[in-house]
Amino acid sequence: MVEINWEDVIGRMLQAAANSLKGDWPRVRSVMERDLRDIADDAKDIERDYAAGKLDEQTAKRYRQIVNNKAKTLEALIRGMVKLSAERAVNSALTVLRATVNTLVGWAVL
Amino acid sequence: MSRRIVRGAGAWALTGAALLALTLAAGCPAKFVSDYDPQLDKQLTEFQKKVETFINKMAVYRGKPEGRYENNTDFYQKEVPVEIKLLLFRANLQDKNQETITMIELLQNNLKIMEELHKDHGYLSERDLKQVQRGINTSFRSLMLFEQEKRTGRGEAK
Repeated sequence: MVEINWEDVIGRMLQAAANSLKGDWPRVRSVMERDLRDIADDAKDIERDYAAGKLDEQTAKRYRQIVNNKAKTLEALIRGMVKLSAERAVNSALTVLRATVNTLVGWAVL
Repeated sequence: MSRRIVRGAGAWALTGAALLALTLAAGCPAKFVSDYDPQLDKQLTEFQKKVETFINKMAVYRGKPEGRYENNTDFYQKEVPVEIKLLLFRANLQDKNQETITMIELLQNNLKIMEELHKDHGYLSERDLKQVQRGINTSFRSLMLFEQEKRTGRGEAK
């Protein structure tokens, strides 16, 4: 079996999430870090125990599915957070635009 | 002369269109994600309590008749489907709520796997519970965090 460097994988996953979320990253960091570490630990434990014969194939398959679901849940959370972040950026720009146009015109046109 | 009028009319049309676009854009705030839903938040908290209570009960009753799958089918076949249906119904009421819907569907899948493990093993083993609980906790934590972010992330009151 190929040996996976989980610390490296977690580090890269966290970096990718931090890059996507930028200013919002500190607010979700603790949740994300804990869950990504859990994913890596669980994946490691399942493969180790399956290889050692402590888990039957069906149980290992079900455990892997739970780990997959965790990863997909975090993916959906990041996607949602990125959308919220973009929404805030667009609305901040629109607020500036509105103020500028209203000032230029001299009354509240927008 | 007429060419100048046409050119002038074109310029006004362009200016008008640009102003209209600006008005439309600036008048309504952009929305990429649904609003915060206090009812969904409340339903999630109540459902989490129910699931946690069940998991604790299964840990206590491991090896006893009360912990056997056959004696807990009501939870999987009656309580869970109703709760999930209510959550999905609530989440589907709002536009732009795809991430929340996806997270609820993944929670549903985790609960289905818990049932399969329970059925396969007769009881939920310590290892089953650890694995299931970690998956379910991620689901609830992410759903609630995102719901809170929809509110506080938009500068609404905490």
